[in-house]
Amino acid sequence: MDWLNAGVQGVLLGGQYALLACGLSLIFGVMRIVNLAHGVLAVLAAYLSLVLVQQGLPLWLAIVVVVPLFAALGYAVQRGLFNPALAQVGQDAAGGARGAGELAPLLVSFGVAVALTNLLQEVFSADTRKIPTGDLASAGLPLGDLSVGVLPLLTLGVAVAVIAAVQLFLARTSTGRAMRAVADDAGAAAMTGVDPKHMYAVATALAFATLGLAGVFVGMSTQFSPGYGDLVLLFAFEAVIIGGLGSLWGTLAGGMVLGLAQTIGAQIDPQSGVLAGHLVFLAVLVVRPGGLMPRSVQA
Amino acid sequence: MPLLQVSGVAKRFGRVVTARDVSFEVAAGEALGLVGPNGAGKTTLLDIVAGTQRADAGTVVLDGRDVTRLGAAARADRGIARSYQVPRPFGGLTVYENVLVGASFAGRRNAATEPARDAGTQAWHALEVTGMTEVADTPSGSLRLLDRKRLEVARALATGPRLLLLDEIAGGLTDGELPQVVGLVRRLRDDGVAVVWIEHVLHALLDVVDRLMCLAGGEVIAQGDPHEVIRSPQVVEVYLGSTVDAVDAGAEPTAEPTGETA
Repeated sequence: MDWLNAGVQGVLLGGQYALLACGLSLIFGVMRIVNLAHGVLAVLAAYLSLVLVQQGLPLWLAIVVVVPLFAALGYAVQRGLFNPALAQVGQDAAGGARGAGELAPLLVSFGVAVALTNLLQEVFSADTRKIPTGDLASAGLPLGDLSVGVLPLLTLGVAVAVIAAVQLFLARTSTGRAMRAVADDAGAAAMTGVDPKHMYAVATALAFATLGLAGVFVGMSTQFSPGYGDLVLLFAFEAVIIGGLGSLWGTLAGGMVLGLAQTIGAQIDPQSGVLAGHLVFLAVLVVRPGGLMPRSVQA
Repeated sequence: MPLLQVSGVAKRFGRVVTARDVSFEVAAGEALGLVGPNGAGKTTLLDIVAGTQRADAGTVVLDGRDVTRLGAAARADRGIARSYQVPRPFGGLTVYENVLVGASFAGRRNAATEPARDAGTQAWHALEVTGMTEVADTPSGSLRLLDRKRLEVARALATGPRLLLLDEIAGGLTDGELPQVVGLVRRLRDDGVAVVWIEHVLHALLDVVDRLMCLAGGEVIAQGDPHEVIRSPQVVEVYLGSTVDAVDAGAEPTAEPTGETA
């Protein structure tokens, strides 16, 4: 029974990791940028919604505010910071469509992460907070002899819905197709009238929107502080790598694997849950360096 | 007024000059052939017209409007399309999706596109013209060379171009495949699309183009009637060697340049 419980909790935890990792996966899949500010941005979303809730807004309204705000932030960050760092976006340099400019955005995102973490510490101090959710945080559904938390279940449902929606968007809409085209060959895409700089910014806006949503869910379920972003980035990154870089369904699977490894590991030894997750991550890297489902962003 | 006016274009990479005061015009619906030895600056010139590279000096005017400062996407919206020497399909997309991207973006905004056509119809039309409807649902990354070359043209065509820039679409094809590609270019020209075509397979080029321009060392050394240009002494000296008679008989120049990047 304890093992079954560990399995169920692992899948639920995996839902949260997948939701957190979705934006990281999308940004990497389209632009080959590893956004090191991903974790602290999720924490920023948690703080923003906390402030809004403290101002008396209902939580759902806080989400309605934070998600579009994060989309706008994503567009601005891509146009203002990442695009200039990506050398020769959409240009046919001698080296092909993508220049050597993949390290520069990584460094820029590192700078953003450091600065933002410190800014959050200045404003909110290093104390841990949690978004008040009333009964939701403790509510549970009986499932046989087990009790399944309503909030984790909701998080898992949102994660699957978000990933399915983004996949559908990539597969079925003209903007989604253009995004995949730009991911394949930005220079050739430009020749068909797709502006890579704009399309990159749209992809980052979409990624940040999912990140904002994920951050609110983290804030509801977890005690967070400005430094908590490091852990968020680590788990999200592991989920993306385990699943295979750039594949969103793979990211969902990666989140599940990581969550299961952590809860089953904790079942074996309560101190070793996180360690077990890291070990599985390492094992996947050794056995299948491309991840479980390696692909570029595809329908 | 000509469709395309290129004036005084210059471009250098470090010490290598790939364009030196290049000027030429293309009339609407005209086919211009572009020849020259390896490193003559042919592809660079195409890049500068397409907007994928900025010239150091000079202007590019399309249909009376100066587009020199516009990027590739904005020029595609105004009717310039191109194919790449080494085909660059969006490998993760099917053939139809590749073409649909062109039809949905530049195609939607192009004046040359018939407004009644939606993007899907426009894309399918491009596949019909290029004879690719049977492989429409194939992942473009797994196509054979002839189909990759056709897809380059189909995707460009779907943008509803008024000016089509072709970079060696005949290179690497078999004798059986060549006439299909030549026929395709001729058909596009006959439909009123202006064409600038870089090609080393001279007899294919001479079958289609109205005028021929020869580049060497980044400079225009001859342009005009195709048969006069290939007989002019400078062109024979820098490019053709002593094989003009053979060229007329359907052979290719002695120094067959392959894998050119300049």
